[in-house]
Amino acid sequence: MKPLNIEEKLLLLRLKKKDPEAFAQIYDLYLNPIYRFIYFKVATRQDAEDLTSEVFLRLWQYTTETEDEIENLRALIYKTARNLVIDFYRRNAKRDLPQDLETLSTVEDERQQSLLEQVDNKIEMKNIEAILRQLKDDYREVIILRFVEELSISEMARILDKSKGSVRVILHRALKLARELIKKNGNSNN
Amino acid sequence: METQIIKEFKKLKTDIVPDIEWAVLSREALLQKITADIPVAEEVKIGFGGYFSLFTQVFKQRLLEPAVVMILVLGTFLTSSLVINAAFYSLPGQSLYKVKLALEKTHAAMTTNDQAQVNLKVEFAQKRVEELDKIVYQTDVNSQEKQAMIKEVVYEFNNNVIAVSNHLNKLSQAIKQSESKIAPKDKAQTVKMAISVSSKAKQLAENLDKKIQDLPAVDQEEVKDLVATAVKSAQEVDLSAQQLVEGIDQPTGAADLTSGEVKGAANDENIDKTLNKNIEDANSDTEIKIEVKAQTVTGSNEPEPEILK
Repeated sequence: MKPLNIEEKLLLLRLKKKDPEAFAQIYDLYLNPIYRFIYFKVATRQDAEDLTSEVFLRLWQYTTETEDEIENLRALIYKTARNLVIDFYRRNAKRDLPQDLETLSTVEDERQQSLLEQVDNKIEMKNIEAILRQLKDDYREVIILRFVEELSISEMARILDKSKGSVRVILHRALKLARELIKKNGNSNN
Repeated sequence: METQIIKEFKKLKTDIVPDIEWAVLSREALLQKITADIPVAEEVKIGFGGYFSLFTQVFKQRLLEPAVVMILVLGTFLTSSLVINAAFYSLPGQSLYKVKLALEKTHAAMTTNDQAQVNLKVEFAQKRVEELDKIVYQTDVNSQEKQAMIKEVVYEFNNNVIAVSNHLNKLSQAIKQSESKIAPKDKAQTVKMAISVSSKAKQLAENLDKKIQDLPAVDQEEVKDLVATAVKSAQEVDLSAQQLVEGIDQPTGAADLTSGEVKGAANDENIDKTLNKNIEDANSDTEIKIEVKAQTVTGSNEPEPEILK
């Protein structure tokens, strides 16, 4: 659900004034999209849930403390989520995983393996999810933001810190690769 | 195929959702955490300042949207076109008349060619005569208003014709100083322009005089002197134009024009006819003109007539 721009601004204004009610409304509005966004970036549901909660807590801390003007609440939330995922991988890499972020993002995780093993009436959805997980992080990110969360190119550019042009290029490449993977998977299934 | 893939991606929106139980628990936990930071739970009021900053933010964002910028540009263009159009038909005393004069000045300033400037200013003087015509037959103004309008329009007319006269004198001096360097084609064009200006100036002086005759006797008496000065200025333009023609090596210029050696210089048939006629007149009346010249000061440093005093 996309809130109206003005409604979003009002919520942000109230949030800055430490209004828990506004925080709850923002949580209700953005919980699902942020969860989905993180879900495709991490290996387990548990990690996705922990990071999603962390996003909202960080949002509260930042908005109530900063003096800077926040132009776009949605972009701020997605950016916070993105940074938290990057921190998460950095922490894990230091601890026990020597692999870099990109390798990690393209690795098929345990949940995915289990999903692929299940053959049920949701076979198509799982296939597309598996395809998404085979894509590198940049590509997966733009596909989710554009087609799942239905964000505009300008909003995506703001979240990803890229120009509109390069977002379009990445999106085009991501779709092309997804198409190739689907074709390849279809052939191997047959 | 691409549409199908996008459709599949969109399905993920409904399929990938967090666990409801976790969502509720997390919400409660977060609210507890954040409310612990707030000393007393009070109702948050945004106030006028808040709404104002919200309004400015939204306005700023909307303003920067291409569609809004486009509408603003179109609106400005349309409004300025309407203003210019309205100014074009304005008369002295109306607020847009100043805009009309300013536009004319800008037009003249943007014209770099001396001959084109002379033609332009003659055109402006013609416009003043047209305005005078409208003012003379206006019925919705009283006598005093009409007189003020006539004074203004005659003043502007006078300015226009003095500017023409100055330009002609400047041209005349420039030609005298470097006549040998001027190409025959340019000379012919200058002669053509000067003859055209001379004929127009004559007509302007006549028209101005004629228009005033249609005014009631009281108004006529009031503006009589001003009009006489303006008519004199127009006649001086005629004289300056003729001086310019005389200053140029006429036989060459005339021969060039009449024989058609200068292509493009004799496009206007009427001007050509006037040219031939005036060249004849110029040759036969030189002595008379010199006498008139001696009586009239037409130099570029001549002080402006105190017409509106």
